[in-house]
Amino acid sequence: MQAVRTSFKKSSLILGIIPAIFFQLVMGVGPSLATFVLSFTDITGVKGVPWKFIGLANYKELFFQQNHRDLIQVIKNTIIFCVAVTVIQNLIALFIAIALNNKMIRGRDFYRAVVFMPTVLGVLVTSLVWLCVLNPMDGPVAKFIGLFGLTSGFFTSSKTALACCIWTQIWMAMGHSMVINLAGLQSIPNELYEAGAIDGATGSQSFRYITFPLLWPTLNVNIMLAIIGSLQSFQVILLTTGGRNMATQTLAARVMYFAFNINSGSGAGAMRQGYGAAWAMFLFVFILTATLIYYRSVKRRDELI
Amino acid sequence: MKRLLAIFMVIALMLSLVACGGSQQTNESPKATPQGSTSTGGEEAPAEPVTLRMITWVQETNERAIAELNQKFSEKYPNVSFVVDTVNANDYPTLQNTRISAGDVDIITNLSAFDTYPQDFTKGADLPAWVTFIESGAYLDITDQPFIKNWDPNMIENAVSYKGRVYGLDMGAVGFNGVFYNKDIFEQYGFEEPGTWAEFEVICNTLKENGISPITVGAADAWPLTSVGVSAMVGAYEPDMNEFAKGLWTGTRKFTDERCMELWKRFEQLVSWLEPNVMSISYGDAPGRFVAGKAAMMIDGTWNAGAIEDLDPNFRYGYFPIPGDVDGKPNQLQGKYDMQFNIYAHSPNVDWCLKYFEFLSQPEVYGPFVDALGFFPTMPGVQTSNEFVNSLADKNQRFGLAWEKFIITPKGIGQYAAGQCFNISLLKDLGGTVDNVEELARLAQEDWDAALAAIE
Repeated sequence: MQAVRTSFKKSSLILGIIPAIFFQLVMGVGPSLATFVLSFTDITGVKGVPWKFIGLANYKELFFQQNHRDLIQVIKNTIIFCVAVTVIQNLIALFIAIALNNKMIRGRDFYRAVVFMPTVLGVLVTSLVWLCVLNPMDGPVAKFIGLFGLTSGFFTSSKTALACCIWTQIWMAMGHSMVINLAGLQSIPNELYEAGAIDGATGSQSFRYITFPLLWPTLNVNIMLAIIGSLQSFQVILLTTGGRNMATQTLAARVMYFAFNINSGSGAGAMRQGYGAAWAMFLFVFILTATLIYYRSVKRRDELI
Repeated sequence: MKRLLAIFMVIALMLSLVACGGSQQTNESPKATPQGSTSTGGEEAPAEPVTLRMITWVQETNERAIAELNQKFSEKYPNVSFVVDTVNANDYPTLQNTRISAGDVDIITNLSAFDTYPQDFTKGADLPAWVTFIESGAYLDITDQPFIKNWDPNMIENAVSYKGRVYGLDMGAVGFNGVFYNKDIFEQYGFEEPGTWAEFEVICNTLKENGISPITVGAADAWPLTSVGVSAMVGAYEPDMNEFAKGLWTGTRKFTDERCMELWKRFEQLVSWLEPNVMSISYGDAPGRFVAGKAAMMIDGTWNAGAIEDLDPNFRYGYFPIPGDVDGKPNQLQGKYDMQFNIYAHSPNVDWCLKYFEFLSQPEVYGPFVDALGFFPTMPGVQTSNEFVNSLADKNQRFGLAWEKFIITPKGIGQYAAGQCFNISLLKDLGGTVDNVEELARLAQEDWDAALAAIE
């Protein structure tokens, strides 16, 4: 009887998990594998256009036929975008989470909602908000810096466009990081702070020896999410600068540019989804490398501790 | 379990690949039979309501003209209604691609005619999107339709044909090698339309000295400056643009040669005459600034006169091509065939689309339509009553194609020589990173040489 029950339990588990596995494979793994396969084809994505396997031609074009200066700039932009977003977003989110975890602050739930609001608003509204705020003609920031005799093109200037995109991305995603940090902070037992206070620990010592070590696993998750999220992000760039200027072109924006012919202008060629898929594979390797480097460095740090 | 997982992975991959290419169909363009043989003959209303799906780009004058045309068609055929979807011109190729791929369209408008086809010297250049669409069978072959004979044979041959077959109707020609100018400001300073670059220089410098921004343009959308503005400047300077384009490909001309550097210097001057923060002015906002007197001139195509008149019907304006070295007064317009209509070949409403084309091919329907568009008509016998278009008659004696119709860049070209090649928006004065035109010319030539070398 026991054997039958165990067998039934095992079968139900497998049956229960099959839909989830199937969904994940069809919606996640399948398209990823298909992207890899399609990167060796000249598929356009236009209905009815025949396509064929062209070997490594897309990769050859990506690495050898494409302008090297532009490729280097795209990689540089991607790294700057990723590092800046990851570092600044997590620092601000940590600071706000600690501040809003303090029970002394009245109406902290309201402030938490305010900080989280951009995440709810979504990328379209966020981008429009910052396009208005940073409008170089008559936006509030332009008027303010105009008081000091300064001007800036913000999203339209090659010098400032990437920084403006980075800030918009941070503003949008910060609430998410803050909420994860808050959850991490609330899981730290209060007794530890009380024991620290009895031992005479100052505020900064409490943070250094209690908060930070115990929050580290949460921060790790946030950092990893920020790295992957920022490397995959193209929406803010598309909606603010249109990616027309190479100053804000990242790898993810480049995938969209080629695969869906986005912002190539009125004299455009057709979509090149095979070539776009080759860029997507390059982006995949880039994200994998960045994540592994971070993972290894964190592991080494943890081993040293 | 491992075997089960492997099976699932294979199924998932197959499903994904099928999703990408499963809808392959014949790549031969379906041919429309002459109207008489279509199932919806006569002028009877269809038994069931029909909704024709159209796509076009955001341009107020065009959108209004299309809406009026559609309304007239619906009045004649009450059960036919329209859904017209629009996006910004920069995003239009994406909308076109996706709607055609999804089969979610009946009538497609195109920004240009079938042109800019690779030439014998443009080795390795990509085929333009319109060739892809024709070869994929997306556009209906309308060669045998009786209404074709109503149209200008030159337009049919040069603008809407490919390999001897006809795939669309072009609604008219436009010029875009010039600027709109504010007549009141010009009269105030005693200016006339300039015949040479030197006269143009005097006008712009005088305006600037008097605190008036000489020129505005919707540079935030990129193309009004880097396509329209650049085409106008190159067209005014190079007498034979095909030779210039060929020279760049064959190496007999360089972006850094003496003659080209003169042109770059003119671009430098043009940049100095543009309104401050011009890179943040959108195409839609530029006419408003022009009408409000924020600048005395506006770089644009003749198609946008309607937007100016909408803003202020009493505003006094004119249009002149940017002049060159020789006093060719009045300088002649250069441009392109604009706004082509195509039928999606696999539309379930092909018969009604053909009826729409037939309706549009009647002079009494096309006449008011082309008036509203502000184009030069492409139907013999149709005279436009659009005052602005008629005022350009003396500038339309030797209409030529613009630079953008001659230049094809090598595959993989870098940012400094992409598009129309003279990417002045990368100059520091316009928010870019390049110090001056000498540096930009050098970078453009490097990008061009690198792209040619990569092809080799």
